[in-house]
Amino acid sequence: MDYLAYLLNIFMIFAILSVSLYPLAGLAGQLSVSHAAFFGIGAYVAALASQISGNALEVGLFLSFLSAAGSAFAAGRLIAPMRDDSYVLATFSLQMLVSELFLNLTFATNGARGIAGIQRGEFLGMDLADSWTFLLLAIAALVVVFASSLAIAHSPLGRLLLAIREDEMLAQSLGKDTNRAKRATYSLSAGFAGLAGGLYAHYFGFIDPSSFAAPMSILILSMVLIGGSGSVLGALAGAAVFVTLPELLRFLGFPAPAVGNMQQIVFAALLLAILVWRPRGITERKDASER
Amino acid sequence: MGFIDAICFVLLGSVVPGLLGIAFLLQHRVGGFINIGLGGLVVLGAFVLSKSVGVFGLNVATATVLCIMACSLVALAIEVTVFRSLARARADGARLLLVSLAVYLVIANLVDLAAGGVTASIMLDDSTGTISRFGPLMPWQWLEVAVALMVVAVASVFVRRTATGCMFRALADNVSLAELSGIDSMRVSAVSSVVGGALCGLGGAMLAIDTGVAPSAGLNLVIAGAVAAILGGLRDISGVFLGALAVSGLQQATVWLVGPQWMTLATYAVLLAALSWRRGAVFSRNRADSSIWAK
Repeated sequence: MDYLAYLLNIFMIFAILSVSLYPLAGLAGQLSVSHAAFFGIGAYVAALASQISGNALEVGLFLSFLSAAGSAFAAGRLIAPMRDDSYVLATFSLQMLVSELFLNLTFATNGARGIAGIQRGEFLGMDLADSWTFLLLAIAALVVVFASSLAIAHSPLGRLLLAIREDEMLAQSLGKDTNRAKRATYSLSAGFAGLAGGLYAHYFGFIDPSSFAAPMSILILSMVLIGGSGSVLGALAGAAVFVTLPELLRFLGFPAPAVGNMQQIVFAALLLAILVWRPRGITERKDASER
Repeated sequence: MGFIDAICFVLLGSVVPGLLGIAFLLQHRVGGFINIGLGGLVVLGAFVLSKSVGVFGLNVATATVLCIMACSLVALAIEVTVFRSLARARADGARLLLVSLAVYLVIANLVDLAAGGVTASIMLDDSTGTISRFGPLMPWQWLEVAVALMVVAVASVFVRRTATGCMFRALADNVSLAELSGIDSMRVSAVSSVVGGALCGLGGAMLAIDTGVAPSAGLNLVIAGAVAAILGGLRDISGVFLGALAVSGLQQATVWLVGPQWMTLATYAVLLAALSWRRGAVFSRNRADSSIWAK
């Protein structure tokens, strides 16, 4: 039963990550490869907050959200005006830059050795030491992120993001401030990733830079694209594949050290297959001629 | 450390970014996309060299040729199976870049699995004390610098003077016009991939001989090459060489002034600064410029 609780908790955390990227990658078509950086910022801030403020998880999670969203808002000033491959490369550079900071700001992050002994703590007085109780918090967080993503999709902002995906210049010609919309979405999306990072740090009790490196960003984007970027449910499906794949590999007899490599290979191969077979169909609906 | 020593180290540090910068430039100008997958080929090259020498007992020269051939073949296979179908479907640059990242992940993880996470390197050290240094560098390091300079010269002549180089420039200038004039864009792209793969293989071999390459190091290496190409103006091969010198100078200065752990961060900061300075227009393919590609 504990194993099931463990799996469900990981699924919830990665589902939050995947769904949080949906407004940016799915709606706006902005293929950001920097989500693991914000996931990491949230995790480190939560770990530091727990050292300072004690066991009050609500403070840590709020700070995780705020720090990740704030960082993305600052970075968004540089990144939001970019398009296509420049955008992907800029987000990728940001990811690598933040990864280097995680490694080298040892006074805060403890470098490659990571931070251990992070307590699960309490949320509004509820003790989260038990995995099933922690799962309730993770579910609640996923519901908030899921509902927010759906709300964005059905809001004027969501329609503007769709317009950006289809033809950004046309949207600009209609007087829409596309950079502001992209920057706001980038910040919100990063904030939710930070929230997932906070949950991750408190659930596992240990974080190190390898969990928030560039391959993780590619895998998060893969979750959205593999699941089908056209819907929030697709992002959830991608997260489910991501979480169950390592377990399946272990079940098939792959040795534990090889599972991480195999997971990345399988996900990258799936991403390749989808991008090769539907190069224009991942973040775009089919043209009338293709239907 | 004296001034001459510093110059020598900057020169040595520019070798691999220079080679990868040329590969990056070829892929970007001829293939029309940013290929991060080149980083995987460097790691593969280093792995092939270390296994050829360490396990099969080949000499370094033969092993280097082998790893260049292996990387060229893998690059060609990737071009034919992955990038060609994407090019036919007119996939945009962002998707091609994402695909190249996925290609990198596949290659790097396969190498990591095969190598068991061990750094790919061969020992050519001076443990016996019988090898004389020439200045601050070992003889094979001077050889690496000489080979890199020769590659820059040959690649420049190749692009400027040969028929295939002319096709490269035509494609870089205008794909549609080049195809209308009878150039087979797929074949020329394949040739540029093979050349790019060979350069990556050579770079990987040099790194394996000099410092060793961890299976996860490919991203940092290819980005250093990309920054060299960008600082060189994404135009001609000699520009890439100057860009590589600038990257190496920056990295060495970071090591001396701040510490070696900040070297990679400095490279990414420069890339981000370059991208934001040009508002992302660094990679716009304004081919009607005054570079050699448009002549």
